[in-house]
Amino acid sequence: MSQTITIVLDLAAEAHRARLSTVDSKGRFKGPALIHLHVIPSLKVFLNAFEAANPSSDWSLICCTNTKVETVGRTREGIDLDAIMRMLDDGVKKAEVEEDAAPTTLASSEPKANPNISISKGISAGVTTAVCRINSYLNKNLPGGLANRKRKHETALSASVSGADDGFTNLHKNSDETKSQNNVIESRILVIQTGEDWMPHYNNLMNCAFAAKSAGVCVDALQLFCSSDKKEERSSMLSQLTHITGGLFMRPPTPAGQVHGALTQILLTVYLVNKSSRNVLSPVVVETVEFKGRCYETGNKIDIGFVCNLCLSVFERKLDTCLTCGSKV
Amino acid sequence: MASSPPPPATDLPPTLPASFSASSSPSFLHYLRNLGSKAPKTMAALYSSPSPSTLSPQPPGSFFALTVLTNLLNEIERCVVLRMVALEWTEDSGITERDFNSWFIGSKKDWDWEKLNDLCIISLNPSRSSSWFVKLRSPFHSSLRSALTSTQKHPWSLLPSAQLKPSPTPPPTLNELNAYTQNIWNGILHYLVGTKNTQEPNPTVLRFLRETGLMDVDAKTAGTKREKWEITKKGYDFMLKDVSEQVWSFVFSYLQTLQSTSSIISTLLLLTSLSHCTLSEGYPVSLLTKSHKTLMPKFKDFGLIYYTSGSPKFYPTSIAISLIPGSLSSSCGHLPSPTSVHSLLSLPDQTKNPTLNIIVQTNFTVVAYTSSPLHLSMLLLFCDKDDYMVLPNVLVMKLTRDSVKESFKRGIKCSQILKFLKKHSHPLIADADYRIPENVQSQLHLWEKEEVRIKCSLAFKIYFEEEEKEVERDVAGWAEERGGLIFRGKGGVVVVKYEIAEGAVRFKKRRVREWREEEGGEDDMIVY
Repeated sequence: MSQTITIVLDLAAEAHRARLSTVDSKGRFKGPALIHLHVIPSLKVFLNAFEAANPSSDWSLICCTNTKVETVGRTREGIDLDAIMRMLDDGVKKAEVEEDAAPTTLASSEPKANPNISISKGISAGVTTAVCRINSYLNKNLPGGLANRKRKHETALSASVSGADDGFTNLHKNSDETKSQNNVIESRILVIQTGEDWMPHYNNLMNCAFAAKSAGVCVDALQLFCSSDKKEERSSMLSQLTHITGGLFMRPPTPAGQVHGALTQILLTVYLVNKSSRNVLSPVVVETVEFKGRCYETGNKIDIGFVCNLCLSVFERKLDTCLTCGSKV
Repeated sequence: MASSPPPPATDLPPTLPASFSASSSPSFLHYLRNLGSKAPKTMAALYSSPSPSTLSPQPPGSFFALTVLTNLLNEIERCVVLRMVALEWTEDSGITERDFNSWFIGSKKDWDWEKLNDLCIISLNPSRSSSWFVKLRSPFHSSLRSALTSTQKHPWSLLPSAQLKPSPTPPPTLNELNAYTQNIWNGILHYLVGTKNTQEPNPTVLRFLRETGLMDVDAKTAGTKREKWEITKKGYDFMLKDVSEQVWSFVFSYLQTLQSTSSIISTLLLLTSLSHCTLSEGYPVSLLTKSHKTLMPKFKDFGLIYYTSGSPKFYPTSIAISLIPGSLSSSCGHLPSPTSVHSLLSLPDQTKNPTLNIIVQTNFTVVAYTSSPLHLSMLLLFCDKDDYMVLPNVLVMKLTRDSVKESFKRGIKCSQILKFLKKHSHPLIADADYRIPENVQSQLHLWEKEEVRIKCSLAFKIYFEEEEKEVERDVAGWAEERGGLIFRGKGGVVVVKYEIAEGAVRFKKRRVREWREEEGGEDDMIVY
């Protein structure tokens, strides 16, 4: 069976996180994990391990900021670090512009941190891009398209891999053995979110979840802390996304649990096991899913709310006009 | 057709063990697990083999560890081992029994303790309580960590041309590399089959063909001045195998002849390093160790590498890369095959890159798109020799009862014929459910079963008198215990295998004497 994994890496909140990074009394880094210092090296090891664990496999990396989504190319050594650093710099500069535009208070001498720059607005666009690419790849390579898929989470490969548009360039091409054995491809997505949920994109993300589920794609998610405060809220959007597609959601137990090689250990222990093997090898994760809705206006969790009958957005107070679609309620 | 005997051995490797057979060479895993009493030290030396120069920062031991992980372990074992890579332990600590068991849902049927211990990957140690703890052995652990944290995907650095002395010949293209390997192996197979005007392979290969039983002296010319060699049953079996299996047979036979541990280590490291190379990339000869440089000529004879004397670079071939598959290299180590019907029907230059694409029809006609005489020879092993057509780019042959039964007599099995036909099936039908029609498959199996339906063997009949029923029962029981009872009839007849007939008769005599003594009768009868 061939395995493909698409990693959606959120670069949005890097500026905010870099500002909040702390060290302890002995000078050791306490978190949160920074992209270029901790996440990228761990990701490199994870991708090498993924290729070693699955001889017939391929991976692609999609990076997203609050304004841009880009598929990162590959070099001989693996991940194209320069492309990621360019996106990071771009994102940091835009975050600084937002920061400068934030209002200052008379009480503090430093400008108040803009909470918006800790929010991951690009996650839904990144996941959408990943699902579309996988869908396109599977449709090109499956006779009759996805309508003819044999089983729920598996699709048959009958022709050679398509070009670089899909991001998967390394799966065996013209392999007689692959074609003759009617090779099966298992695709999954790993979302690494570094900021907080952006509630207006909740519907988009849920649509991605349903599309991924119908294409037989499993979505896993890893949420990293934005600061060194371990009381940060878990991402309900990601937990629901993974629950719908049958994937795994995890957040490291503490901010310090994502640095100094701990992130590598998390990736190798939890996310290396393929979906088909998770009924044999336990993923060592037990996370409960929060099914409570959130107000689209305030982001608060609510049990009872008001629903727009057009776009199904949920609000905790009654509104005359829906804030999402603008229709009169 | 018989061929002249190979030249006498001069500086050739020592003789192969008598029990070795090219048609049944074990796998790479089997070879590593059976390195003998020196296995732990050898494996530790393999894993911790250092980098030969600063220009190759990634040590070959890490590539060996990766090859073992990717190639010899199943998916569950790989995931578990990779989980353990990121962990650190002291000498008397590890993953406890309870934690390890919690990783598995249900039984650990996919986890082979013995294999992982033989490959020196894990160690199981008793803990202070009554349980145990498990951890990775340190040479393997450190090598794998080095492999996973490195960005270098190649065992040797790709030095820029400016740092190397100029090459006398231009670098080979991908097609030239494949053609080079194909020519070497075609030459060996042509020689094996006895095609006319075939150039003799080099002495190493000739000796292998002789010592592994693929070729034998022709009985008619044995002992004479015109002694000739011809292909044996094992040779036919060898011919129908995949090229990778054939090459592995050669390599395995060479490994068997190595006496010292250091030479085994050197050869294995070179093989695994080659499997991590990229096809059509040249690697500097200057970065090879001294022992690897001495192996170059032999690997060139086997078609594993391409290099010309004086060239600063050597080029691994697709066979070398796919010999031990499972590397992180992005190249596919398979020989190319045309995927479009147009390219097949447009008379490709088969001399440079011969390909074979077969369509088997329901009327037992075999249509083979090829113009290579070697492919014709191979197909004639089981197709009718008297009724076939040779067109410029296609052969049309027939599978008949006589031709298939003739191949069975040579030692070829039905499964080998079917495997060969399936492997070389035309790309147009490669994805069909039945690449060979069902009726053809069934008929081949039936013809094979006819060969074993009646088995003739020598037997011996023992007669008993009517009153000797007890003796008859004892003799039948005696013969059955020894696996020699063929038949026991109602009329006082027991049929046994000829091999135990003498013993059965003696036993019968003794039993009759004993029975007579019990009955009080005289021992005056003739026992037969």
